Amino acid sequence: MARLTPTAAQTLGPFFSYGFLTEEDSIIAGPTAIGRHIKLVGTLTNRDGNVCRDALIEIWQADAAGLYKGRDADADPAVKGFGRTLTDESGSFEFQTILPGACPGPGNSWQAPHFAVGLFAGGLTRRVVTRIYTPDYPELEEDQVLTELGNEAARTLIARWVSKNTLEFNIRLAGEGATAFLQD
Amino acid sequence: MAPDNVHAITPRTATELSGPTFAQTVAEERNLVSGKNGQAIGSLMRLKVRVLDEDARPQAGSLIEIWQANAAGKYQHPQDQRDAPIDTNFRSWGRGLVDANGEVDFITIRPGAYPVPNSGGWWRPPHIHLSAYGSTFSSRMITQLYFPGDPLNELDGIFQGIPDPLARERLVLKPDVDSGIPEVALGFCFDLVLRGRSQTPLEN
Repeated sequence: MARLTPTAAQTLGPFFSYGFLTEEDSIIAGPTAIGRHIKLVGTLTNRDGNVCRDALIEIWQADAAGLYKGRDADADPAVKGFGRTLTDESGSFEFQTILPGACPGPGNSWQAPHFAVGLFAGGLTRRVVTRIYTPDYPELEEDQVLTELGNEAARTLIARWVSKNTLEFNIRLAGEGATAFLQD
Repeated sequence: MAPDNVHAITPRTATELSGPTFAQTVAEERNLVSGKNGQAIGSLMRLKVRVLDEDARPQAGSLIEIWQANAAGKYQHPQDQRDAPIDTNFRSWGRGLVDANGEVDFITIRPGAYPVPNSGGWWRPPHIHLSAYGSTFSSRMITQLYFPGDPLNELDGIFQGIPDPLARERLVLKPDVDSGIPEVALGFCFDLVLRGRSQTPLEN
């Protein structure tokens, strides 16, 4: 069969409608979800260290057992798994969710608990993707994405606890200390 | 603004091969022109989007969102500070779910061109922003749709930012009588191709 070429991406632009978003869009897991309930927060900055507002941040994650809604029949129905929000005037974003569980990776490996991140912004031609990893899990050692990235880049993908239930992951688009990104 | 720490790693694990579904939760808003006090100003059009994957399979259940300027080239957005009229009967954004045939349509108006602030005279050609959620995290994408034959297309840094002329051509709407509504709305159609299960990395 003739293969079709995927449509080219274009920038989000500065005017992504606020009308698309509701407060619920940043709730990835509701109050009845199984697992440790957390806030996932961060700030988006550019090469010069200035904050980026009106960028669209999207999260896709597994439930506490490492199962994905829509893919795994036993996934926790209270975990939407998906959230999106615009960064505010101080470049910040916040999601309400639960910690995902480890899930199977390539071969017999395990992927450490992680959040997939997609980011769209006015100055970006296309989506930028990366992952956020929760610190202090033994699976971090065998996670193939982190292994392929190497220590220096992998370090930029580990979130940190800033309070008992708040996980922080700041995204630096470019420049010194830039977040490692994956190819979409 | 471009990221400078991008690694040539494209994971295709359970994470990327699954994705959010919207069919049960999203309320469609496919008519952008019927305001409280009448019809939006501008040339009415029906936009029919056909959503396929690389193997030409219809992507039923995909969520398509569009947003655009009004006929005067004004966005209903606090960041649009230009002195141009807001049309309170125009809703500026829409969303729809792709049906079993792979199609979704919207009733809207042809947007106006508008000047880019502090750009020395650059005007964006009329365009409609389109956001798509396909079946997986990897098939997610956002793009812009252009109108055929508009002279501003040739001068637009964003449209021309795509180096491949064929890739640009694929972002241009096609006039289509069958997509229109006789004596009411012009018809335009657009073929959107999302990455499917084969997950080719995007180039552009």
